[in-house]
Amino acid sequence: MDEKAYIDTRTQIEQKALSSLSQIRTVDDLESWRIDTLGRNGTVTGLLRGISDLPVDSRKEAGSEANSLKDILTKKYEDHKADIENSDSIQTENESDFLDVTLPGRNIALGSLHPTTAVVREICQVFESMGFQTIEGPEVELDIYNFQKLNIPEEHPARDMWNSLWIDRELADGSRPLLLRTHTSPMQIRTMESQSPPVRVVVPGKTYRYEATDATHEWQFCQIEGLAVDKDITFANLKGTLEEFARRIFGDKRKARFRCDFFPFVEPGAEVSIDCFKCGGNGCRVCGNTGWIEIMGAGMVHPKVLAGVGYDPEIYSGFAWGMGAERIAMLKYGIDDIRHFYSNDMKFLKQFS
Amino acid sequence: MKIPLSWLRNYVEIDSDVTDLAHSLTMAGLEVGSIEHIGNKWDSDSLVVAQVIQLEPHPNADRLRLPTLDLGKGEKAKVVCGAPNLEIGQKIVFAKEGANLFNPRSGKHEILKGANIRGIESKGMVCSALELGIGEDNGGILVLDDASVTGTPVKELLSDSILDTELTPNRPDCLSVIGTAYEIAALLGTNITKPESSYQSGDTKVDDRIKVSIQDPFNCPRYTGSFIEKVTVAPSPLWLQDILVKSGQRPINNIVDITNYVMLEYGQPLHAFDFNKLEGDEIIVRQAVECESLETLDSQLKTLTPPMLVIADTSKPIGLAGIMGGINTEIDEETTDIFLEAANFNAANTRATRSALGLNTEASYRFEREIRHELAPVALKRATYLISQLCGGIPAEGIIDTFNAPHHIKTIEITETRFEKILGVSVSMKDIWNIIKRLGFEKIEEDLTQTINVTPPFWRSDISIQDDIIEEYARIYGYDNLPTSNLASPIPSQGSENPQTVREHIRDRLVSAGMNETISYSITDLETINLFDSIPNDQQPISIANPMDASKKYLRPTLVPNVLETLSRNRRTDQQNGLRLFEIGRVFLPLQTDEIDSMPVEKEEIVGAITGFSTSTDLWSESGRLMDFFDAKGIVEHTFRGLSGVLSFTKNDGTMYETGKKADIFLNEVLIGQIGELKSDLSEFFDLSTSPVVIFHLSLEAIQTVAQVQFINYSEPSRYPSSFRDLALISNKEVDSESIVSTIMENKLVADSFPIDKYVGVEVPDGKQSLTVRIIFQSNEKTLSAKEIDRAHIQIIKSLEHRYKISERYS
Repeated sequence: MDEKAYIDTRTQIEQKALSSLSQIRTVDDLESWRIDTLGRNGTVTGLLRGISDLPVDSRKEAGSEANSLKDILTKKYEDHKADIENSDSIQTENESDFLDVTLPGRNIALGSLHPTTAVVREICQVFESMGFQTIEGPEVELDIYNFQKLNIPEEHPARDMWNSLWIDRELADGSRPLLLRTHTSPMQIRTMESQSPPVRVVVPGKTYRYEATDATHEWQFCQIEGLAVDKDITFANLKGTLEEFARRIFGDKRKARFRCDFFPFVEPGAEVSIDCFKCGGNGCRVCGNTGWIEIMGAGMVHPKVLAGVGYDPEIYSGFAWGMGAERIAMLKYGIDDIRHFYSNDMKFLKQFS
Repeated sequence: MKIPLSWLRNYVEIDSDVTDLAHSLTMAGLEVGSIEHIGNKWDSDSLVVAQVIQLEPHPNADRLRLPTLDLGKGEKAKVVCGAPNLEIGQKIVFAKEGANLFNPRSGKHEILKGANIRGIESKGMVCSALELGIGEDNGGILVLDDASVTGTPVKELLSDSILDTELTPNRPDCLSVIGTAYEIAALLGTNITKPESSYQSGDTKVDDRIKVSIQDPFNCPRYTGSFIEKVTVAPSPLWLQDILVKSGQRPINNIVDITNYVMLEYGQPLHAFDFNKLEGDEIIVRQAVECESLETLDSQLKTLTPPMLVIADTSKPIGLAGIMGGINTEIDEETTDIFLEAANFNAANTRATRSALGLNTEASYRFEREIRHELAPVALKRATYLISQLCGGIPAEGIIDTFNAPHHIKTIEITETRFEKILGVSVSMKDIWNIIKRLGFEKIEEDLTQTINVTPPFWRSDISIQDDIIEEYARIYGYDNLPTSNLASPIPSQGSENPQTVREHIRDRLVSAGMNETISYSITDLETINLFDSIPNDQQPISIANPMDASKKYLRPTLVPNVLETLSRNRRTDQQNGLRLFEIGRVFLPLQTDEIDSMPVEKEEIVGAITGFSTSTDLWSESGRLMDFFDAKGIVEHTFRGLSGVLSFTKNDGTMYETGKKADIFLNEVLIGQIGELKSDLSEFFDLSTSPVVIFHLSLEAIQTVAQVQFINYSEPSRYPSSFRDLALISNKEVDSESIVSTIMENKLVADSFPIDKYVGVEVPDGKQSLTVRIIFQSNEKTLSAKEIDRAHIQIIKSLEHRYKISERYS
């Protein structure tokens, strides 16, 4: 045997020993492995003995190779032994002939998306599949964008529909230019100002209101705005798009209902409801005995709003909508109190994993 | 607004069921929030109109009397009654045995039974308004109008339904019974009957008695007034009191009640002044002067400032324009001559004044919604008529009408093409006209062509453009009856770069690493902010001017405390389990300039925190292990897999971390965040001391400068087997494992390498450590021979020795 063959043998012994060691689960098997490998007649011992068969000038090198193998395997053996002893209970269970299959499986940590994120994604994906692009905007807004360019001048009574949290900054005339946006609608303006038609966007984001919290009101919540503007967009398109949305989110059998409502930045304006998925429209607690559940506000973009961003309202028309993400999540998952969303209790959150 | 159906029926024929009517109104934009049914449980046989024909004292009780009642059709009854206001001749409501009435004592509806009251048998009773459920008054019996016919079922006479409409701010016209009646007429296709308002005036001419001057025509575009003398102030007739009560108003006296009645009828607020309490014969509408004050009718002294608008006589304010009158000219029992005002005031100024003074009234509510000035003379004449009819007054000839508003209502052109463009369906002008004419629109042209000019009804302030009329048509026709179609216009092109992609990748990866996403509030308190070095010391976080909770008024400049608070809250309710949570959200940096349109910089941060046991502490299969730095690091590494860029960690201390247990995180050498074990004083502050808390804090903006969601770079997997060796290395402690592994990886036969054991202790010399590294050897071209691996092994050791003075432990 020459040195090369010797080293090859050493490598083979090492690979074989390590791979068989990794299969071993019991102290008994480990002991037989030790005898086979490191014992008096073991492979490593044999290797060491084989040194004497080599040419003298190769013996030193070979000796150190063989000894290092012995050290490595000895250490591996000890580590493995410790592992087996530490996990004795598993050992016993897996190696016995009869597993108690009713013991719980080993735990795998499960993460979860916040239900608001989950529902926002689901909603945005529905609109994305209809050619809308998801964009986002600032949470601290200018009064001009949050109200004025949306056809809500100062001291307009419609401002009562959006009680605002104002940033502590005053202009010379005493007015406050900045606020936490009360809705995602300012992004209608920002989008149209930054591009020419056609426009098709969906805008999720946090919104804020000066509002006492109760089971159905939060001062911070997530809204999802939508806007489509082009040459031939009609109220029929608004109805078609939002009906399709309602079916995709709440199921094929859902009917959407449109009633007249008022938002200063749309004309005609609408409130969209779906027939109650709980009672099928007969009236129950979920729908407040009306058979219908309000899900969003919508309407045709007001000509003043279009003109304000430089779109000619004689040529272009469009529709917009806004809905509360948490409200949709509450309806979808049967959550009865909006305050759960930002309490961040793991017992709540983990249900959405 | 509460509107009794019986009142609506004075102006419009209603042939539909009240629930159906409410539904139609709701669909058309006038949401009926609730319907109150009065008398729907009344039994026609047992509750009837009766007349008191005899009244005898009760032999055994001073306060009780024994009325004999004529129930009509020859029927009579004698009962016991305790009401002090009972008189012979009165028409009252009589309840026979078996009637279902409200019992004020038990607070429930009960069936009336016969009773023996102090020795007298009483089968039935005379009812109060409260017992009937039509008012709060239980002080005496309800006295009916003398014209009521005995024997008539009360249900026919008094039952009613009250619609409570919840109106949007654009419809002040429907803050009135007539405005609502027009809606109903349009919806049901019926006609409107307008109320009577022509009266006989006396010899006095209004201009001879009073003069009105308007000093601020912008805030008072129109002012109308009438003068009525020789009125008798008294309680209103019962029908008027009844209708006001049902509409949610408190009857006061006939004059005030009429002004309220007409306000509800037309939506135009009115005010009556006691003329004899005025100084001089001039009404001046002007802005308040600085520090002027007025005691309003609710007995509150209000200090006024310009540009608040007041109604004044020659010496003092006598009313707050459009909001409330002054107590100094209040109508009282002595009043004989009155000046009646119906004016129009600027919406914004009314709103600013009422909100500054905290005086929200029925009048201000209407004015701030912008009502039409044309309503003023109409309502004035109607109220003057009613006063002349009900209060015995004699109106002066003519009215005052001071006018600064445009006289004509603007005409609006409407075209079939625009209707089709907006609604997506072709509509004929005939169909359009048939609907809008019922709402009170008038047209200029005789004939109906594809284009016509119309004027909106004078009471509607919300119609100014053609699209407003399109909504009018659509809502009355019914949104649900309009066609539906999918979008057909071209889909706008979208760039491939979507800034949210990287963030959403990170979010998904964190979830797949077992992390739970949380979302917290963007507002926090200063104490919490100051625990962290998130903003420079000389800058203030952005604060809210009108916070809901004075202690929490700052926009968060860092997301770290939010996540720690969430962690803490969950630790409080769950002492057992490991917690892994993260949040992705905006933080707000201090405002840098004072420019009007400057906005704060908003940045998105990603913060994760873990603490506690890595698995349940006592699962049968394994024992618990507290999560540490390397659990968090593993999560970060996992998160960045699939993103372009090379992640690296460099030890560097930071203020909120335990010394020596923190690293900066780089992506392609760009600093993207920190990871480390939370300092113990912060753990204590957040009540998280039970186990180490490891957090990572990343800037999405920094990540986005480098990372993209990786394009998959496919390489063919090797067809040849791999083999591995474990190298036990002795190195100086300062040499980090990453340097060692990257040196090993430089060898071209090495497919992978990673540390598998680290040892510092008696078996290695001081200042040294033993690191065992596994090396996976593999080639794409052939099965590697032991010799080739040996050669690579030796090369690796040489490089390590050369670079870091590392030697093999067992050589």
